[in-house]
Amino acid sequence: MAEETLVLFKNIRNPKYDKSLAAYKKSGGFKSLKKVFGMKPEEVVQEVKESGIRGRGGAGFPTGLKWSFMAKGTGKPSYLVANADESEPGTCKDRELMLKDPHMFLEGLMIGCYAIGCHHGYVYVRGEYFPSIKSLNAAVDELYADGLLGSDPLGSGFNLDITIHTGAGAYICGEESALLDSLEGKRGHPRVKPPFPAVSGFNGCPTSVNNVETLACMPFILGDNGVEAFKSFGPQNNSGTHLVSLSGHVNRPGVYELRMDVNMNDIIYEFGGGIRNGKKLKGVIPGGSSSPVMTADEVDVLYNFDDLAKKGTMMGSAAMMVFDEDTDVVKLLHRITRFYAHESCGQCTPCREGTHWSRQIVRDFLNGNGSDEKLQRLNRVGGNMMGTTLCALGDAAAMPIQSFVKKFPEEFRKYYATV
Amino acid sequence: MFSKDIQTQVDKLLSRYPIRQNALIPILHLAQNENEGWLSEVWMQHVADICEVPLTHVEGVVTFYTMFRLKPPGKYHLQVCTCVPCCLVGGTELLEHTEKKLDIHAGHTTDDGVFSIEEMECIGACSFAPAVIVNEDYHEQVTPEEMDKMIDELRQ
Repeated sequence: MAEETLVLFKNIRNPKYDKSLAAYKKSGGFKSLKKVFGMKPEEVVQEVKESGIRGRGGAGFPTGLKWSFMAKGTGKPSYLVANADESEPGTCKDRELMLKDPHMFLEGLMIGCYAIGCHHGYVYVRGEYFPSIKSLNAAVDELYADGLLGSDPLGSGFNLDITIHTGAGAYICGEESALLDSLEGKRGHPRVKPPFPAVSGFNGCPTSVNNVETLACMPFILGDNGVEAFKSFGPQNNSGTHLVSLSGHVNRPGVYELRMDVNMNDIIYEFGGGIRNGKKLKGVIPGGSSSPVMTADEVDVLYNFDDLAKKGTMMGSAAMMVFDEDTDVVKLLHRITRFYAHESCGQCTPCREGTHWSRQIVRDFLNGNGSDEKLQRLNRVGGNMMGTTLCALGDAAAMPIQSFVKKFPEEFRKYYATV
Repeated sequence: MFSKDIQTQVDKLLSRYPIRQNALIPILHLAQNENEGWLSEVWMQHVADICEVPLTHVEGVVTFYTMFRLKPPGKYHLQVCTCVPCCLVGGTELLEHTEKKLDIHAGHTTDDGVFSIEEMECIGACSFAPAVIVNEDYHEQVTPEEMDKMIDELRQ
């Protein structure tokens, strides 16, 4: 039986763990922060760079590099904002961390704040995550009461505040510049880049936006021998463990902490217990609904950033949605296109129009009015969104469309009009 | 307009941000809770004054985010997720079942004001699908029978 590798979930998998500050400290919590306070901020950034950690929110951008881009000497305050707007369909890993071990994530956030010279960190949590919001607020209150937040925590002389901020329901606010607009009290519209947030972010000040899981890795990375250990959990350029949100037609859906050299087959058949009701696998959406779909014969591959990229898809937020042989993929694509039509912010024409057009064309198929010409048009509408919008939502909407058309053309033919 | 307790929370929120406008969305949540789950123009104007922004700005924000409502929801607001992972394991059927049971469509409230239904995009409970949020509580791996039971219990 395959086993998890427990770094982020080491406490969560302990049935006696009660997520209090005392329990977290007993598990070794805040030792890393103490160590970090004795280092120079640039040394912390350097260690994070050496660990090779890549952002766990979806894009996989190297975190150390992101922090090194922070503008210095601007005379403005710097900000670290944790992106807890987990809304990519299939993804439910950050909420596990926030609900069941909030202090690990908050320690990571505090380490990040010190590394980039931020004295007030914000956590942007999606509004629907009521239980996570309560858990985080209680944890922050504990930290203030203990003196770990506020003025001079651990005698460091480094004043630090953290505020939990609630969003109000908008997928687009997971995009970092839209998130910052939302945090400022506006509609969540992605910004023109450059300038990137590291130069002009929250209220026009240098800002780094980092995913919850990324930050939760920091106490381990900055711990004793953390960098080397972290690198050992995966192939080069894909270091660390990652939280895989497994959903769909498997016997044991769940969030699993796995090494980056785990095979997708093992995730489905070992951890997930195989396809439910003894059915056969038809396909997998490997990294959130935006990632190009894979067919059953493509899943013998290591589940990490680079190996999936070589297969023409992406690991994204590590949300695997598995579907069996009975699944109607046209209906599935229709649900995906409905999602993007609902969530497009409406700023850029290709996305605002394209997401609705693609939904309508797929619906046309479902009504029995498909044709070769419409299939080509669907593909073309997708192509017109690729790379033509301010943020990645256009690409995110296009990739499932184009990959479904390419990988499952015969499924669409079932819905061609019969003359 | 805010009760004394909530006004304290509003003041605390305002102290956490460099400028008052930054606290707009969290304060709108408090206002919506104070006004039985929806935002009237009077409340939006009040929040606009607190955050020192024009009413039109508040209206723009309120209409952008799905959690802000311009009409009262039911006492129990059933938020049924039908997004991709939930849809794979019966979320759509669960929504249809709930609509039939309460004899209303998603987006509507029962005549007695007790229940309202909303079809949700991904609510982040994908590995525990299909999922429903009732007011602020998550319910996971919900079957139609469990939904019936829950509705019957809430009605009493």
